[in-house]
Amino acid sequence: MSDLSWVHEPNPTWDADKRRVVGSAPAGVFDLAYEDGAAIPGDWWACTSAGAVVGYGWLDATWGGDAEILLAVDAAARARGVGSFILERLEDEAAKRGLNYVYNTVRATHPDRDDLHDWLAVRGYRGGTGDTTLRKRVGAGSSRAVRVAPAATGGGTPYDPAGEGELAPGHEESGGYVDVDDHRY
Amino acid sequence: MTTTDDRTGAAPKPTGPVSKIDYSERIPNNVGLAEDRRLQRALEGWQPKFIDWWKTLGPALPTKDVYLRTAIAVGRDGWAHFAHVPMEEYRWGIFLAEQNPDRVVGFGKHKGEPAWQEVPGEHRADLMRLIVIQGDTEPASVEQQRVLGNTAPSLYDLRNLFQVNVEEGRHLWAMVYLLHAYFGREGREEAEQLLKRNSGDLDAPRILGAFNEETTDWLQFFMFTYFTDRDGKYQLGTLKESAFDPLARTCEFMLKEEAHHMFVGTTGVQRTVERTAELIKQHGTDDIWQFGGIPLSLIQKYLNFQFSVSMDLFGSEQSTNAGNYYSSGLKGRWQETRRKDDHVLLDDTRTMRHVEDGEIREKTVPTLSALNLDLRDEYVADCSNGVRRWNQALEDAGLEERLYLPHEGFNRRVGVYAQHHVSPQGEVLDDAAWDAQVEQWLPSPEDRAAVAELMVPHYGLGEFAGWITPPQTGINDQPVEFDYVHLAEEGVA
Repeated sequence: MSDLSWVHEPNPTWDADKRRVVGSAPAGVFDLAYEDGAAIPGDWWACTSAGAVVGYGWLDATWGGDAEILLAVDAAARARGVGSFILERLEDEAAKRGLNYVYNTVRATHPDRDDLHDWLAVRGYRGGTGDTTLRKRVGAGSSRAVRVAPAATGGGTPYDPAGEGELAPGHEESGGYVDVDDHRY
Repeated sequence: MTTTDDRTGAAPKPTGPVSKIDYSERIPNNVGLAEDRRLQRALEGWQPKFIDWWKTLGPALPTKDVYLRTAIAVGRDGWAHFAHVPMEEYRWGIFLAEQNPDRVVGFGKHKGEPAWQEVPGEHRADLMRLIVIQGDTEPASVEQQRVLGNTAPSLYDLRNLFQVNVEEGRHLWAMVYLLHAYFGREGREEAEQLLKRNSGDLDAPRILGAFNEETTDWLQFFMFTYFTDRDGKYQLGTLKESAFDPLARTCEFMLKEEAHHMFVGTTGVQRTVERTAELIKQHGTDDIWQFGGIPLSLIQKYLNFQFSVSMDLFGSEQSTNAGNYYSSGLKGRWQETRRKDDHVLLDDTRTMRHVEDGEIREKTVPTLSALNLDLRDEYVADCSNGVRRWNQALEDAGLEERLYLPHEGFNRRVGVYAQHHVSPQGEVLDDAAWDAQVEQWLPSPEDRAAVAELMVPHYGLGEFAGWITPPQTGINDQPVEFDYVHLAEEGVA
């Protein structure tokens, strides 16, 4: 397909198109269960052809620095380059966000896990011997050009100026100095 | 062919309180390594690679020995001793906090079940991934700080840098032990990769963004240990709650050591601010470059930078994976056991901010989907404690200027603010407004060069650079002017 478009969803919700596309995958491929209209986590993009959604890509940055990428292609649009298109766009999006790696976990319940593994491998994804998680370096060079945030509950021991005067560590030989949950510093 | 044995490895079986560490072994440990020859051989095979990495990418400044803290036990009583040690002979080892045989899972769908002593097959990939991510950060900071010793403001600070470095190395050991002991061949392969990725390497960088930023000078080092190591503290705090007991016990002991890193950051920035305040007071201007100090406005820029890149380490505010890790019992919340809720969170909601139509608005989301944000909120509250401490120094000096944490959306590359420009005060800006002001908020190359000019080594006993005040007391009740580091060149220190 050469007429594919890539459309970001700023506030993604579960809708009929997602139900159709994601739902067209065989059982065991995805573990997504949302009510219609429910807000869904992550960054989502629709892949469209002639105005119709033929696939989705989404990105879950669990930690800053790498992100899980997932993609779904409508069963009726498979084997036409939609998956490759989505994968490349997701890698670009991750790189734009300064992420160093993307990864995909091939679920043990995926009915075509060997094929999926090979499909990812030829696109530069590498993993360990078991290859359950395959990772790829994206982008290069993440250097940046480089209201007070709200105080939440907890957050360690509040600073107490009256407690000053004994700043140095060194009482580890007799215990003390460290409370694992309430570091003084 | 991969066998079950290859995939699961041979897990050691800790037997009750083992707080004393066996230092007669080649690899000091309190996990009964001598009783598991296969695992012991595997780790002894990894040890020379670690030493090679340390020699190649560890501290560059040649030293004879350093006054270091070494863990000798993991119990609540004394757990470390101090002595001058050649760094290459530091006893990096494997230490787990004592086992509580009655420990149960504290959250998620397995809440109330006995903690796991083995890795459940269905969580194997996720657990290994969490351990690899944590493990990747430990050697990264050592690599980032490799050349800092060449410009140390004092022997006291040099010693603190090296203490942080050797303990980050030990934390790498802690994660490698888990990979070897519980994840078979895949774990061993991941352990190899932890030494092959390098900070800032274009082809194989460290996984997390902030661990690829160059540590250019000591002010950034102090900011790094304050803000970025603090992210590590909070991540360890969530893994300390894990249902996988060996991971929980490992992280609990790592947190003890991590406190020193927080100390280095907090007091390092504070001493810099104190000296800056003295010079501003003395000369009546913030432009104190000519007097050998770092202007407060520049300290704020460094703070803005390190805080914002560290905020990115928490990932997207909403994450399906983070929710799944929680529900599965792999990763809890900060101070999970102290939370006053059901520790399952299926029906809970919370608010979060996001940018919509050029404004920062609030929306309600399921708590389970926003656990990265929950952790980040705790982190931000902790960060503000240090800022209050530093501002106390300014107040004590009679100055009206204050440092502050920038808005959570400032300079973000990950999460809901990633595609937007937000000022430190929380104003959403267009590209032109951002470009026009960004140099007021973030350190420019010229700013960093100016700081670098002040970074001249001071290796004399009791000697301190002019941009930082001496500490109030030394380490382990030693005097401030103690010979904390003996450099390799005779007569230098």
